[in-house]
Amino acid sequence: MSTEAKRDPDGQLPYVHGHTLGSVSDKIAGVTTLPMKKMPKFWYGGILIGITVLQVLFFAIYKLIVTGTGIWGLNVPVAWGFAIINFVWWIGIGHAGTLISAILFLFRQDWRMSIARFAEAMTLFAVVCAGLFPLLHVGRPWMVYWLFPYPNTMGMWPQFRSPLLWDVFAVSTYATVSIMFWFTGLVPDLATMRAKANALWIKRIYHGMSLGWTGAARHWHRYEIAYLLLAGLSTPLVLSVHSIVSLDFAVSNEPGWHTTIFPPYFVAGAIFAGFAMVLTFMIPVRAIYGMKDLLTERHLNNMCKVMLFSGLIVAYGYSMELFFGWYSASPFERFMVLNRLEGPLDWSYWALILCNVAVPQFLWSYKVRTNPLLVFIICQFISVGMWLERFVIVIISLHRDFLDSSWDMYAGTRWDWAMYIGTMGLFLTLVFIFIRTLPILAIFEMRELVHKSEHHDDEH
Amino acid sequence: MKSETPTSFGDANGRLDLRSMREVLNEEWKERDRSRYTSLLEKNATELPPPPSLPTTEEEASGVSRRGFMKLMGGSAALAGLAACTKQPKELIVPYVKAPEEIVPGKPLFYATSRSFGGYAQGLLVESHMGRPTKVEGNPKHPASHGGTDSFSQASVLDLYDPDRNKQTLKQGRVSNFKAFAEELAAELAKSKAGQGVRILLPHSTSITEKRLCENILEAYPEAQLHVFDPCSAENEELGTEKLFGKPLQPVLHLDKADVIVSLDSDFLGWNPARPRYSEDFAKRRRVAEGADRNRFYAVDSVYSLTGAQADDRLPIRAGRVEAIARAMAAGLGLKTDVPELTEREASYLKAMISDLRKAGQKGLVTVGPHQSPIVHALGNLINAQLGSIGTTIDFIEPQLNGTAHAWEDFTQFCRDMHDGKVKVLLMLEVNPVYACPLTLRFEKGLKQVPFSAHLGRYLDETSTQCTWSLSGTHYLETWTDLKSFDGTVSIAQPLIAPLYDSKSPLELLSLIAGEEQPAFALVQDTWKARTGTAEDEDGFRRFWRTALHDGFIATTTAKPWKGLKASPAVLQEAYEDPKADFGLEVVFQPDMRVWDGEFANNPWLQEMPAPVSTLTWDNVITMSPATAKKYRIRLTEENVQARTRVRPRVQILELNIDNRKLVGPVLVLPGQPDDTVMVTLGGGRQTGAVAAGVGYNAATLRTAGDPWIQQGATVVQLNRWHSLALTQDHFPLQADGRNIIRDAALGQYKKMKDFPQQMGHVFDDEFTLYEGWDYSKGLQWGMVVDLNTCIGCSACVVACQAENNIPTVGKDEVLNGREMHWIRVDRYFEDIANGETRLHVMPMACVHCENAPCETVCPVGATMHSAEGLNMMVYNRCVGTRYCSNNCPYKVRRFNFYKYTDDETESLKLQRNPDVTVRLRGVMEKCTYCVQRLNLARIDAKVADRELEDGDVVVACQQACPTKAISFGNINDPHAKVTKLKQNPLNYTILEPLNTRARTSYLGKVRNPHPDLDPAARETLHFSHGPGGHHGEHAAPPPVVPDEAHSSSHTPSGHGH
Repeated sequence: MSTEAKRDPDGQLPYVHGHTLGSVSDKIAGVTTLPMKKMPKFWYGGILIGITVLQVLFFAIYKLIVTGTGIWGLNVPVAWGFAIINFVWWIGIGHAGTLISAILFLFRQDWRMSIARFAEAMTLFAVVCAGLFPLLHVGRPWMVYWLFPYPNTMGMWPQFRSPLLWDVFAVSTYATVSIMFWFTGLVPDLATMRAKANALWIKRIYHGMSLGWTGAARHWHRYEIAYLLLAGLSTPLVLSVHSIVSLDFAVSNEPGWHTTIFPPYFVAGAIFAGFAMVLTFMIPVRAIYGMKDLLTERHLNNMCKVMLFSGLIVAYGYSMELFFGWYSASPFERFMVLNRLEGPLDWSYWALILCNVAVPQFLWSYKVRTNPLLVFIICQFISVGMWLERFVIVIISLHRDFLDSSWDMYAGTRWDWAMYIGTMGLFLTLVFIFIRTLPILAIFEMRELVHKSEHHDDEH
Repeated sequence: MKSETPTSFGDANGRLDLRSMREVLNEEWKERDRSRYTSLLEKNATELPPPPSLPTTEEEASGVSRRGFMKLMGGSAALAGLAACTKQPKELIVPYVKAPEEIVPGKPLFYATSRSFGGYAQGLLVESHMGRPTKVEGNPKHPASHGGTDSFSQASVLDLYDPDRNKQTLKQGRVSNFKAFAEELAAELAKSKAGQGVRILLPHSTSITEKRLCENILEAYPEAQLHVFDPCSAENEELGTEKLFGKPLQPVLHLDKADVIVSLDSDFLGWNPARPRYSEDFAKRRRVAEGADRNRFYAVDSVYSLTGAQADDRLPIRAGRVEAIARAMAAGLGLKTDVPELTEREASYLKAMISDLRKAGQKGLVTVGPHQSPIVHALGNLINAQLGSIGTTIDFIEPQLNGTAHAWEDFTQFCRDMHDGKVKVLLMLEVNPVYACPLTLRFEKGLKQVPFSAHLGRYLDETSTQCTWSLSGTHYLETWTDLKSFDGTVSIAQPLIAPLYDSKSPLELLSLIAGEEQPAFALVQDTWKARTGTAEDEDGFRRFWRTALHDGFIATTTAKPWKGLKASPAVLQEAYEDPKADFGLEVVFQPDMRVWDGEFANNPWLQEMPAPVSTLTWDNVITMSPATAKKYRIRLTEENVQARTRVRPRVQILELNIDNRKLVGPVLVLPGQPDDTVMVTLGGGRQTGAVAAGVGYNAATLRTAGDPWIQQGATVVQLNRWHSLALTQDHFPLQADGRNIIRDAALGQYKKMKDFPQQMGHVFDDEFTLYEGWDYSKGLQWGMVVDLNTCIGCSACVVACQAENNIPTVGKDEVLNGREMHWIRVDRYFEDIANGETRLHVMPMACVHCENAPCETVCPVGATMHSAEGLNMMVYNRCVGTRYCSNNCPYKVRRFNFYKYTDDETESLKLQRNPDVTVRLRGVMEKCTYCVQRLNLARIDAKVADRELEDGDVVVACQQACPTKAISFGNINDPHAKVTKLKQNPLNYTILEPLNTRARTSYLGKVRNPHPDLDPAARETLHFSHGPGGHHGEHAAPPPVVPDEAHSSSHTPSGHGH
């Protein structure tokens, strides 16, 4: 083992360097096996904030159910507001994980190994946050199970032409497959954790969860096949979920919603937002837990490239929206475009362009891509920008549509914000529990990387 | 509304708790029975045994012995039995239209009755469900209604059940009883010398029985005096005719006979006791689709009135200038008078108008607004005389109102007497002068000098709380009276329900003053026995009585118009003083189109009804034109010009000051309002009433009795205070981009291109549909046509729909949030025309019941479905409230229960609800159902009678309320139905056709008839291009927009506001 990292034939640093198979395991599992007292202040601070903000969510939900949807800033014509914006935003964020695990896995992109676990966990947590909104945004949340096709004495059946119903299936399928995929990937590591656990009861939990994994060649064989199959199953889901979500809008006849470009443009936006969120968490974690050697600048570089690419697709989407507004020759579409550009809520459109189109252009620079601080800042812009994108689509389209007589204004109320910020609390809480309880990087995959980086010379 | 005694009958799960409901009801009934018992005792003690619970011996009075206890117990039991056996007083009321022998549960009965509006009868039919009046309709035979109603009549039924009603007799705020009052009053009257110092204050009324009783009172107490207080007194009309003809007369208009109508600031569709009837007459000449001979209507408008908005040519000028116009008109028609200098716009307007009037001759009509001075009235009617229109388009009849024509003058004198201490006993019946009397008369202070004062009214209002005695007054649905309508026709108004509380009617109180208290029933009958001379002929009287009640009016009583009136042209010689250039700001006072003079301020339906033109709810404002706002440097936020960017638009609060009389209120900048003048409305600033209190300002602070309507020389002080206005519609710069929502053309253009509305749109051809459509060609298929030519935007339909469909009110805060619940709304569009003036378009909009309904496909639970009859239905029980349907509705007619808006806790309000319509829960969507409950009822009736449903069997609530009959509804598969015929008319169009929703509600394009000199665009030939190579129906491309104002054909409502 050399202290000097070997460069690959392209002159790039390896995705992991300075590690042996053992040190990788110790380092990653060490975060989890650390005694509570030795957990860094960052972790304590993080989970404290998370749980505190989570209480806001609980209170907002309580208030909502007791009082009614009226606590939000909704009205007629703007009958969808923050809840739907947040739903789409969180679902979008939940895209990166599966993309990284499944699609990049199928493309044999080794660098994904370092970030896959973390990204997948985030996907799940984001889907949990997203799933709250469609359930709670309805007028009678206690009746929301009517959206599921279940045999009942009323003889009622959902109405399958509604994109909202497609949503139910798309999101629940996505959540199920993501959990399976994530768990399958965790099994070998859970066995490692079983070995490393300090206390017996913890050992028992890991023992149960690792499903009797012994590391036998047969296990590895089965595992590889299962993982490959699940990756194949997940791949279309990455594209379908956000496509279906976008159909909520595209299927309607609302100017600004009724657009064929929505499915690809939403998927690109989701990848854009998802990578930004993964980086938002990865950058502090690698700094604080000293994992710069496992999550290298090369990872940053690759992820930024994906962001830049998906960002450009999104920008293309924006330009096509403008173009087709004009090209449709429909007065409603044309007005919708003008209303975005210079209507009363035009600030949100221009802020969106700043965040999602202008700022990501810095990523053309290698220096920016490998500078964690700058990347972190850009990611914040992107997260805000993607939220604004949904705000523009939902609110600006709705608030001024066909009949001028119905036009109105919209603004979120404090309860809208409470719900939104509250789900961030939920997300944070889940993330920090995850950091504490499960290996945040896939240990066995990292070991594979170490193995590869040590032996790539031999392969040539 | 706040409940008086909040009781909830739901358990924690919202399920009905029958046990607690029974308990509360029993309590209420016990109380009612007890009060009935005591009131019967007072009336005829001989018929009943003394109440057993009264102590008869000293032993019993001093305490309860065992024997006494047994007696009491026995007595209570007897009392309980007695209460059940009490007979209702026999007062026959006769059902109208449908008269089954008995009440059939579930089937409403209709009774004809009348409501007093400004003293005049409004002919009504009231729907009663199991003895509860629930809905008010117009009486189709009544001359003041012809089936139409206005928003006030529609909302009046809610007042009956108002939990705020004054339910008891109070003496200085403490519960007392009417008997004690009667005794005290008798003593006071006996003390007075022949009634000296006894004053009675009444509202304007046409009641014949009231007149008779007043005469009786004056006979018994010759020194007593009766005064009239009416803050909306239209006495200037009579004073004007007095000036002109030598005697006060009342005009009756025949708008349908006029070829040219000129309104000199007259809002005859809004501010007139014949409002529903005049609306119908006015509309008769506008039904272009039905071949009406379209007349022309000039409106000189000092505010943006409902009527002025209907004008073919409207001249917005300040009210003080109207006299100048009247004089110039007179001069133009050959009368010699002092003609002031006219502006260019006025001159050209007058030139066109006068040439039209000359042509029309006796078919011309000039009508003058009640707030204009007697001189303008005299001038207007002199012009009518000059045209020869008296007898054709206008008649004059004897004044129908009781009391003097000089009501304000008389009332002012009365106030002076009060201050001088000359008033010893004051009885106020259904008036609220403490609130409405101009502050200059210091009524409240004067009232303190009156030793004995009593107030009879439905509310504990500003006045009754200042009086010695406050008596509970009846609602019009609880008592008998007889009223005359605008043309003198008498109606006998019958009650539909026994008084809910221990209330007295004004007639009963007057009879008490006159000597002996009698029930209103007997009083009215006595009047008519004497009048018909059938006092002895019982059968004859019964026949008369039953006919009168059944019809709702007595046909033979219509007043005969005066013949051979001689107009004295002396008025022309009166010198005209043009107000100096710097007269300051002019203030015009108007009754509010929602709450009138404050009478309806406690009625949430009316408070929430968007005011015609401004769409304002829950407020009154100082209305100002954009130019005047600039001139006075009103800090114009964007909100002031209504190009709103905030969720809650805020406007500045101004202080108007005339000779140190001040009025503080929010300013609303409204295009179309004349310059240099502001409109101030009555009816706000009430201090009592759970709904009324604190809404708006009280205009009485600025008014004077001398000039109650028009004041000049106001200064404006800008206060650094802001106020949120709950407007249901904003005045955005409308897009002249080919939306083609309102489609209108001038008469000449229409004659050349009858189907211009269809030419402006793009009907989808069936051949472009991918899937085969549903076959709607069989069976009943419901459809609606709204005639934009005759819709005047009065909003009667809005309130009618609210009453019919149990639609809740949401309050100002929720209207500000954009969550009003009205199923039908009246959309208002301003259109810029020359001279910086505006044209107004109104369009009633409810669910249009699309055949390809966008809402249906997006509902995930199938809560909104299509019926085989073409109805787009809401299944409230199934709705989970995703609100996707609302988003996908291009017409935005769906309404969502964001909170639990329905007040299902206030007992009295439950009685008003229509039992055939579900009351909606929180979290569900609702919308217009085409009154499906009425459709079902009609279908069942037809089936029972074993016949096909015929046109006219179904009348939906908005259609029934509409005074101009602008709404037609029926089976569009019936080739003989009116609605089918109108759908085939070339003027028929649906809005937003490119969406291919195939709406069942369509509109008839609007045909205006402007004078070509005043609207040069009217001469242009209409031309609609359908894009290159396209033919009609193939392209979704909009017709090209000509931005140049001068050349634009009038079909593109364009914007302003910047």
